[in-house]
Amino acid sequence: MKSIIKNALILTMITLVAGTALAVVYSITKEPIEKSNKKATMEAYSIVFSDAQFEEISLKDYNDENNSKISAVSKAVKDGKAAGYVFTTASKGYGGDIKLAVGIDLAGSITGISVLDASNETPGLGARVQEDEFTAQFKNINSDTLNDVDAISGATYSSKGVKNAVSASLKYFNDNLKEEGK
Amino acid sequence: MKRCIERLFNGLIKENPTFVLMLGMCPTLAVTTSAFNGLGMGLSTTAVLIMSNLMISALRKIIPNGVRMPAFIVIVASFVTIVQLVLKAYVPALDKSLGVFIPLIVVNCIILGRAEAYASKNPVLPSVFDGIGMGLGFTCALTIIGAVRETLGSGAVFGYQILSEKIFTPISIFVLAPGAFFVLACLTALQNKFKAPSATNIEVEKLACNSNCASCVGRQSCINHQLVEQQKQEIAEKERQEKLKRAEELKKKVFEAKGGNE
Amino acid sequence: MDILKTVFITLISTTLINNVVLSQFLGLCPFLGVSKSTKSASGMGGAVIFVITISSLLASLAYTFILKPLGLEFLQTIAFIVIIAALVQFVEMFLKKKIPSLYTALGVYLPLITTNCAVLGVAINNVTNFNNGDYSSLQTVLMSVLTGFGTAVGFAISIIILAGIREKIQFNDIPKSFKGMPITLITAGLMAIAFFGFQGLI
Repeated sequence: MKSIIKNALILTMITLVAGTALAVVYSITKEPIEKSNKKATMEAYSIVFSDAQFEEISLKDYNDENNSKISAVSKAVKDGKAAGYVFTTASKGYGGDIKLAVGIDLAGSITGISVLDASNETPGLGARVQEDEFTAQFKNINSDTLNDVDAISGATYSSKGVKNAVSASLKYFNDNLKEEGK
Repeated sequence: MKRCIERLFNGLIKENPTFVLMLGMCPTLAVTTSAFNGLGMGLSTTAVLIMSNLMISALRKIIPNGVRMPAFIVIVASFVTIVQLVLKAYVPALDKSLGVFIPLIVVNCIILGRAEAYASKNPVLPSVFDGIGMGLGFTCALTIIGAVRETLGSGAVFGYQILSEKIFTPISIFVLAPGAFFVLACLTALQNKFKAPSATNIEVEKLACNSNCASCVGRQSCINHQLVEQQKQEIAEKERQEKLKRAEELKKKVFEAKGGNE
Repeated sequence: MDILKTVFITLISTTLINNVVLSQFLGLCPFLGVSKSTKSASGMGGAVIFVITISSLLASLAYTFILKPLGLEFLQTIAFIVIIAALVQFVEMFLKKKIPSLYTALGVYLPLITTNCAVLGVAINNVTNFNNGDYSSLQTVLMSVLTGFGTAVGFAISIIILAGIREKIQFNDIPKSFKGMPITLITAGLMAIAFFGFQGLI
């Protein structure tokens, strides 16, 4: 009986020490984690919309056909004037969600896209959606010409995921933001 | 100091956790889609292994035998979480591509196996070096497998294109799931061919864990070690005898040749 | 109707499309180790279905109702592994006392499950997938249980198929160095290719 109490006490001590240590590490790394997340998003934003400031605007309800998700919209401001919008959006690729930033100018054509997270895609195949060769194709595309974008051979699902996410952003822009911009 | 160096050598070559002991197969197959991922996984596991070996060996006289396993699991799990948080903060790309396999280091049999078989019985310094050796052995193995799969599957190593697409059409199946099985199959077949001592070419019935590394912790892993050791000795003994035999035959021949001349 | 659709799609995608062993590489050790005969494979499969379903329920309950409200998400790895280890012990004792017939069928495989990475993997995946704000607490728990069950059924299906194939090729003429583990791995690889076929299902 005595040994059970002793064992339990020691185990509790170890667990408590471990828990405290984790809490300390968590509080130290919390800020860098947030910072690195934010930095990645900001970097992607400035790739799709160079030399602009970003103001986050509130998200309205939207319809989407392809299970794409828009998680944030920001207004891109250049020299004090609104120049377009940047969307953070995600859509299902091959292994999971592909997350990307999509920039759309006031006329409704794409200024650029940048993949934030394609870590669930296969390296060397689906992960190639991150390469410039693929993303550059989206520049100056609008909702009518989206079908002109070529998929990466052997990575149909991942390419389709990116296209779906872009098309959801375009649709949201056409439905909600186009009038405002004029 | 000699003992420490011996531990390094032991982990890297003599008892390489992947190639010889066949431990930790899940991360070995899952994250080796590229050499970089393999390296990252290997180094994260090494970090956890060193810290947990250090801690367990330091506490080996305090932890009562009855609650040994739960205590080890709690210690290992907290180090894994620390590594995960640090990766998230400073190397977010690696954290994303390794995904769920970082927290799964907890159930990697290498870590609990080493804790049970070595760290809980030995002083701190050799245990740390045992962790470094085993960890580096694992890292090397993962990086090599990753490099092979990446070369065959996309013609690149560490993301640098080494085989131009003009002369080599990448065999994409090698970076996909089935490729992992095929590469490992060829590897174990080669080991069988050259009779290299490995947990796989000992008859399965003999292994205490029935070749199931999920249950291969503690006493069982020790028994398996012994079996591997025993087989190594048997092979060495066989080779020695064959050598002797050959030498004798050679002697005989030489003798006969000489006799013929006379 | 919508609920039925979600249930069906979740089950199909966890059992066949994202098969836990053949496309996610979780739980490989028992997959390769306990697949020598269909009998032991189905025993292992049954035990895994049992444990994963219960453990995903407990893990998601603990996460949504204890860890998350307290802001202790970083303790998830420790919490889950302790829950799983305790659960396996408890299930073993319970079956031994109350349902001996089930114990004799599954008993030997239960202790092996604690370190089966599929169990912990499913729990962690559930937490990351269903806690992004799209689901209410109750839905999170229900989806976790459903995913857990589907994943475990996927595991059972693939281990039983592999065992069946291994029994068939046991006496085949295989190159000597490929006997044993290598041919099993190649079989598993071919199965993984076959499971690619389910990709277009949804």
